[in-house]
Amino acid sequence: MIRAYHQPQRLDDALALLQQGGQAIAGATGLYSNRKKLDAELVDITGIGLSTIDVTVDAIRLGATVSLSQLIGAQLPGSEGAFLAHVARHITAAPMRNAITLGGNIAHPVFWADMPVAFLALDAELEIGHAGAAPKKIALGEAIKGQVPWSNGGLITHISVPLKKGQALGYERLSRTKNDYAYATAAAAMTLESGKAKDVRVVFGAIQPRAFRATDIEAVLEGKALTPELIAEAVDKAAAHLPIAPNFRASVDYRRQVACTLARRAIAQAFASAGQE
Amino acid sequence: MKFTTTINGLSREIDCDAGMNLYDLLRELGLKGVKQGCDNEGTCGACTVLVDGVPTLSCITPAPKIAGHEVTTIEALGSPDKPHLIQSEFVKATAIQCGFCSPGMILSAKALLDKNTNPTHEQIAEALSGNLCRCTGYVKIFDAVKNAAAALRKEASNGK
Repeated sequence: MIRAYHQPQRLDDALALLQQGGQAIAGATGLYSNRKKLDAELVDITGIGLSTIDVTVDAIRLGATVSLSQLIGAQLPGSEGAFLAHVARHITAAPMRNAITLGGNIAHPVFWADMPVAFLALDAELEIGHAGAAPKKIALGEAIKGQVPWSNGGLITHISVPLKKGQALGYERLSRTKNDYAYATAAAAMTLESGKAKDVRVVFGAIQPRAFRATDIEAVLEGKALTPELIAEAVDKAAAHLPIAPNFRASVDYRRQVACTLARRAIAQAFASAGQE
Repeated sequence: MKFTTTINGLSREIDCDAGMNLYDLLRELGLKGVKQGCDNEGTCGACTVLVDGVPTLSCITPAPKIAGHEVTTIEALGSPDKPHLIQSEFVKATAIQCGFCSPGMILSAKALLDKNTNPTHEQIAEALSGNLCRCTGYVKIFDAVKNAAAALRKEASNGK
């Protein structure tokens, strides 16, 4: 049962409650379907000033309780801002997007989550708060390996997305309906230097419990002028080893083919749009 | 736990379990226009209410979240004798069959039309994207929202 519902007004108060064993809650979209199993004191973090968006010359800093609707409506700059809005628009339906928060989409471990895929492609950095300690910064890619830093009283407070000049992005997902959970997702990010792809990042989602970078695909593409043949070669080489966690939506083999097709498309999309800059 | 909120224009002192959701609270208060079509997953929209004018799924909203906020349920819109304009247009367009989705559908439409009385088809689809209807096939619902928008524009141009 839910033993208490705390609504702190200050970050420090929230962190103190979390350190005492409270569980953070924001949009609460996953709370009630699991209510019978839950035995916790909840700490609602939506009133502690983390719904702000700050834009500087080199980064977009998003508060953890910024909702998807807020993100979509914010008209954020750069290819990165357009990309974030594009990805958020695909996530479920309008009233859910009013509730789902960016921090929650990262912290609540559901395999189909879209925002972690986008944030990983964008090389995002998290700020983690802990009671009585200075905030810590950690790359999202590092944070989701093993024990996550928001366990044991930690809290994601902000997500920073670096703005990179000329960064081109691609995002592809397949689901039965537009707002259903995905069979697989793929994202790609890169810049172009003398016609060659640089800083290539390829990310898969919805095929493992958490999104991850396909470093083997990135390595093949890095520093090359991308052609459909080279993209296909890079993805096909990785295909057999691509770890697909089984789920009820479709067979592993089918989702492997879907994931690889989406990756080829996302990479081609990013490279094509890089060429237009 | 205790908190103060405003429901349908009336200030209310609430005393409820810490784990109660807004849907259960509203039903307990006798506001039975909220319906439950999914399993507290926010996927059907039949439990939609407006919190400060924003469509909110009451089945996934912790009741304490409405402390200090304003909740509007279908009961505040109109009555069978004196329906709200949007409700009248739903009836005229026969956009109601079993009626289970109607309260949520009408409140989502109201949130849209409060901001925009000349919505495109796409904007209506976006506003109603969280509300499932298993009877009408949506065509008549879209007609009702378009007709309500036209009626609201006419009202505005008449200076009412």
